[in-house]
Amino acid sequence: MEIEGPGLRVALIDSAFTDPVDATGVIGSATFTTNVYTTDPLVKMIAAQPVRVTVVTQKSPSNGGVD
Amino acid sequence: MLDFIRHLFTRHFWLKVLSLAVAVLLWWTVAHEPEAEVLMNVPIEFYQVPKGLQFSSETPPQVQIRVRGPVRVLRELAQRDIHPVIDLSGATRGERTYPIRAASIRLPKGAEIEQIIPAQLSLSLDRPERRTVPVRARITGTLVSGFQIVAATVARRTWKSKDRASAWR
Repeated sequence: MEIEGPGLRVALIDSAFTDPVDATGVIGSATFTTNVYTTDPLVKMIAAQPVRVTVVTQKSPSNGGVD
Repeated sequence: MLDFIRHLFTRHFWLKVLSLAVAVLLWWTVAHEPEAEVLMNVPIEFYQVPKGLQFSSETPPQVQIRVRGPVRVLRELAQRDIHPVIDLSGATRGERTYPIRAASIRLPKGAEIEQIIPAQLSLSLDRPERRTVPVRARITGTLVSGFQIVAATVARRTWKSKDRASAWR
């Protein structure tokens, strides 16, 4: 994701974040559409548009759920 | 000549006295109008912002101004009439403090500025830059018992990036 803003502020940004997606009850994989933002209000995203977040879950080995 | 002057004062004498009394009363009413103060939040105008520089500090978009004056004047005073100005001509990259001067604010006759809060603004200007950063997925919710997240990917049409989920709450 390309970001733009005052040089000093841009340098402090490590990553952009998606809005939270709720993975309650996801078994296998699920895809969500959500938005991206930066934590600094002075830094904007170039061509900001919704993204797809795909969450993949599987049985935890500790619970004997090995496939 | 003397008759003319005498006539000037004595003709309709009581009407003239009444007119004078009314004029004095009007003057006294206006001159002794009660004063009041108002607090106004007004936007700052930045003049001559150098091209190629951006604000890199979060400046308060408004300042608070205490204005004192006759009630009648204050009631007619609109926020759009007051413009504190900060002149940024010659500003360079970096941080600098600019006073907000009462003299730069025009007010109607009779009104005057008592206080400006804040009295100065610290501004940082910087050159705009672009950079590419990864996108991290924020995931919330309660997983099905015995399951865990093994991957969380973020994608859009023009690019693809894979990041481990940065948070699980």
